[in-house]
Amino acid sequence: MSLLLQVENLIKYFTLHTLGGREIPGCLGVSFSLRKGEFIAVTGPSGAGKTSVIKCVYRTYLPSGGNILYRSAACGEVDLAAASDRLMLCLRDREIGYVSQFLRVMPRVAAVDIVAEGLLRQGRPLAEARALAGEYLQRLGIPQELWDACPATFSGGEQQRVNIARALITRPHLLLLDEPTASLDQRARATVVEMLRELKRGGTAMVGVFHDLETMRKVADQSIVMNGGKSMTEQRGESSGR
Amino acid sequence: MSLSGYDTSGACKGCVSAGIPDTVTGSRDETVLEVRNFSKIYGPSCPSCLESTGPRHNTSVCPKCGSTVACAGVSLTIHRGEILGLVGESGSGKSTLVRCLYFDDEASGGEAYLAGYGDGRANILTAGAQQKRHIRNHLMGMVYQNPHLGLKMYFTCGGNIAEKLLAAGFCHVGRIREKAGELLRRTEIPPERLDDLPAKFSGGMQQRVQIAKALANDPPLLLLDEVTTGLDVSVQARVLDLIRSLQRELQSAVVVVSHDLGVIRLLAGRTAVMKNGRVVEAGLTDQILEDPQHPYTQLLVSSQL
Amino acid sequence: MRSYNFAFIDENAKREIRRKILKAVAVPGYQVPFGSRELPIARGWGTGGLQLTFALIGPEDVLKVIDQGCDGSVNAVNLRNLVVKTTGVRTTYETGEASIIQTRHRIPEEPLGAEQILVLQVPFPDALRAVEASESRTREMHSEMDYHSMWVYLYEDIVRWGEVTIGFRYPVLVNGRYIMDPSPIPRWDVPRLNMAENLFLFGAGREKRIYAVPPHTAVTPLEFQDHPFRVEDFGGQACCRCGSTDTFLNEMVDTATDRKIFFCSDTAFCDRRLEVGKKGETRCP
Repeated sequence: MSLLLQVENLIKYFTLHTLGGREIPGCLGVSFSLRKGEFIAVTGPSGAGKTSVIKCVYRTYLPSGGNILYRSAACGEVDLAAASDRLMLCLRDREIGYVSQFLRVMPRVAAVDIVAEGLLRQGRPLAEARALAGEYLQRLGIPQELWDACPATFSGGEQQRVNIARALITRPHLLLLDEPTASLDQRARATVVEMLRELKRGGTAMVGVFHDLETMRKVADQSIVMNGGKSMTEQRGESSGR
Repeated sequence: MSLSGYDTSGACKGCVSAGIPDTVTGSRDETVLEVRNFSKIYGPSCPSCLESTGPRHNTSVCPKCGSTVACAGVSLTIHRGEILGLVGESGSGKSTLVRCLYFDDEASGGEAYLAGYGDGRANILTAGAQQKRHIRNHLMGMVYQNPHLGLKMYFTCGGNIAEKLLAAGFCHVGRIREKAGELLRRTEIPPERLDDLPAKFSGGMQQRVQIAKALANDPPLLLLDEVTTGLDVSVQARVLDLIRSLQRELQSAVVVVSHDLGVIRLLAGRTAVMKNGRVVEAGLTDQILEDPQHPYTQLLVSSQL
Repeated sequence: MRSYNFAFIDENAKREIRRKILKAVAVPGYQVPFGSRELPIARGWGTGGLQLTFALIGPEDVLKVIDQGCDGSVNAVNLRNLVVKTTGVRTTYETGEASIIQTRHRIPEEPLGAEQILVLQVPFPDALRAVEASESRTREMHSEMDYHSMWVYLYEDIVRWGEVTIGFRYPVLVNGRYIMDPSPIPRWDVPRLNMAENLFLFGAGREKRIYAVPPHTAVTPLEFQDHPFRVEDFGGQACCRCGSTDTFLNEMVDTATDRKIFFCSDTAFCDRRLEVGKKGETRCP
């Protein structure tokens, strides 16, 4: 099976003009590749550059060097490090999903509508999108009476589950996860693992940043351990070779 | 490569106009507005105006002739179904740009091309007065920070909306009222207030009437100038949500001008940062906010509450 | 009256007015500014119409002057006397006989012919004044055909009152181009401006404007599809003199009986009908 994502020698450093142009390293020369339905976990201590890697892939960070070759379903091979803003937006809408660490959304919008939004952007009808959003919230254990409430009032764990539902519902080809299970309890974590595995079976490739190594081992096929912006080792996870 | 279970038949318009061939959709240009090298100078202007102003000099006022260079060398493109944020401090030229695009003020130089006018190949900035009015009435909608600029307070809500419809050639009172009522419903104003004067409305409601008016002719381009500035936080959220859901529904191209990074973050997919009349940085909104490149953008982002 | 020129004003002034008339005819509905002269009557009392008449009239002309349809009202009589004194032309009450008819606020009931000119006195030449106070703005609006605020005005009128309440000075679109104030004629007279045989000239002395509707020019009242323009309805009332039911009627209260009575506004037309009726003929002209 051909590669979906190939990251070659990815470099990211930040130039802080407010500090007289000081350069802060993000990641320095990270390389890995990913097939359809495969999961790579990125682990390592805080400040190791894990988030930099996935934010560069999502283009929230502008890569300073290297290539991020992505095999798009609609447009063929694209280097995400150099793709136009417009193309990135389009890929984000249709192919590349992202689960951030925190939920930051439009105030006063109901949880169910926040989850449904990605589907609406893809042109799905409102009723259908909301119904599917309800299913996802249900599965993630958000009680139905909260669906029409605004997530700003939710607990951290509930907010994170809305965040996950929002990204998973569009069934992206490539899903980037930034500590998705950090604030979840054991049961919710199990549900998320199950849903991620389902997505994998459907063909979604994923790159996930994890602190929680136990959850990581349940979904990851391989892992990169990072330290000081560099990838140190690559390991095969327990779910590989399945 | 085949990915079963995914919908790959849909058009990826961004890819097409981003220059990537798409055998499914064929090529289709989705550009709504293209601005090239736009400039606006208030005052006599002299040859050294451009080189002695801008973010490098930290001023918009020419030291030689005293002219104010409100905008210079501004180029941007906006596509169908896209929200472009325009952010910067007061006096950075962002409002000047949209006002000139809406012909409230005359541009000093540059070009602007609008889909639907002269095949997108005629510069709207140099169009005749009558053509400009046609463009305003048929191809653009504008919402001002101050509702008094966008609404005639001595006309009813319906009359204000009717103004756009009448300009577009509606000549049936019943149909005008039907459409105006529908627009009010969409902007969450009770349709029974159709015949009320907007002067009696709250600020948030006046803003929504302005939005209803701006949308009256289903314009492909919508210009929003600091629409939520001065509104209560609760009302602000409602107006922002309204703009986003309407935009998704209508697929118009929207330019959102704001000094508030929070507004930009919630609305805009792409953002351009202006300083002293120049665009200093443009990119994906989350990239601008999380990985700003230009010193000024870094300062702006780090100063956010 | 030796010391005065024929038709009071001097020849150069007449020439200027004639040039402005030609321009007005060439651009139907467009208000042409002109140098309004001082006359021995006060501005606002028909000086615009009078200057047009003075500029046009020759010794062979036959003049009719009416005020609100009446040949005998004080204003009409005084204007007629002034023209006669300074020109010596023949005058008439008969609409069909006149070559120039100067009128205030009415168009005669009898259709005019190609050889006749109707001169209307105009107090407020710009129909857009109702929606825009600034003269330079209304000029711009006319030049750009920016008429939607006029339409909003009519829309608001309908919303408030259920119909357009403008009774006099009903705005019309001339030749598909300019919105024009037809002077304070009743709505009854508005349709007669359309595709007429004769030339209509409008003069506003105080406001210094001349405009025109040439023969065979389309003049359409502003109307909405679902609120069509309509003329006055007298509810089946007839003229108490001639019995007419197809003319514009004035309403008065008969103080003796305290009841409303109606009579023709066009007195010459009414007299003619009475005369014809007395002779035993069945129809009037």
